[in-house]
Amino acid sequence: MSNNIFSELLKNVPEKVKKLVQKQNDIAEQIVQIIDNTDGLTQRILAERMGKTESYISRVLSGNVNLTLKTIVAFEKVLDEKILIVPTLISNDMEIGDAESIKSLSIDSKFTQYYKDDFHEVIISTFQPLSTSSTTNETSDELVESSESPATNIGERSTLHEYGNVAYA
Amino acid sequence: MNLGFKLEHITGFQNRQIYSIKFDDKELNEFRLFFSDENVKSHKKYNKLIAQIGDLLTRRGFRRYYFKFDQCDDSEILGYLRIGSRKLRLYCAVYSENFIIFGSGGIKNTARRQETIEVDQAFERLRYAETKIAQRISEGNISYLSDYKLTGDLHFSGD
Repeated sequence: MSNNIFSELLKNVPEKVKKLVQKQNDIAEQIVQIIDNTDGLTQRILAERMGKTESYISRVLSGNVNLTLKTIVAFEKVLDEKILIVPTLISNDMEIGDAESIKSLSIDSKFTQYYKDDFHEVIISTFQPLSTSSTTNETSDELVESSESPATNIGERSTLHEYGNVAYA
Repeated sequence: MNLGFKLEHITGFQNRQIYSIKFDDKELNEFRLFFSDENVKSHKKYNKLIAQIGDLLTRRGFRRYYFKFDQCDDSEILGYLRIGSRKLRLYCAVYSENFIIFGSGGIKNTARRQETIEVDQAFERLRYAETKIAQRISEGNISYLSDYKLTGDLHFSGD
């Protein structure tokens, strides 16, 4: 072994193992931070609220549990805080058919620059307006879930380009 | 037990340092001994253990919740890294988020640590050394530099 034994050891650890450890620890620290910043919240109380043992919570906080998305969501619900933030196309508050949410959907400008065409295709293949009017009217636009072929004639791509945050035609 | 030993620097990152103990009756320091053990090397959590040390060293610090401390013991700093089912034990003395001393360990394959002789001996050796180190630190004969490297007399003579 070389003089710096640890560097030598670390060099031979697969990158995916390092990334997994980092990610698990990131999540663990996020939870630890929420506990620390919440008055009266302890590992024991969290365990009770989660319906888990304190030992389990302790293992989570040491980055030793490969948490499922379901469990992360359960933690978020109990803690009333976001633990895992995932970049998403869809606004967190949006539900399919919720026209108001769709209108306020904000898309990162870089994202739109690179993926605007793909995104447009997704939108038009998912939602079909009740009216094919080419004019946009915030109060009357309605969207429904598409059950048939994509509405290729609705709206203009320029609509998406022009507004940057408009995901309907 | 009255063994001579010295403290050896293993590695450091910014103001975090890892040390280990080299006993006079062994050829390698405890950290190297642990990672030279074939049983340890073939353990399924071997890579994770190393990755965990790397992550704590470079990103987080040696925070207490990453370790399990031996509650049966008087010391509040002796423990091991919590990895998987906790059978793979690398004992350590966690002095702060910036400074740790690793001992050795092994695979604990019995219900109690004391029943796996090799693992128990590793723990007892670390406990012995830690007592001496703590005494020297409290007397001011060993101290930390600003980057948590140790300065002072790092040799401990035995009988």
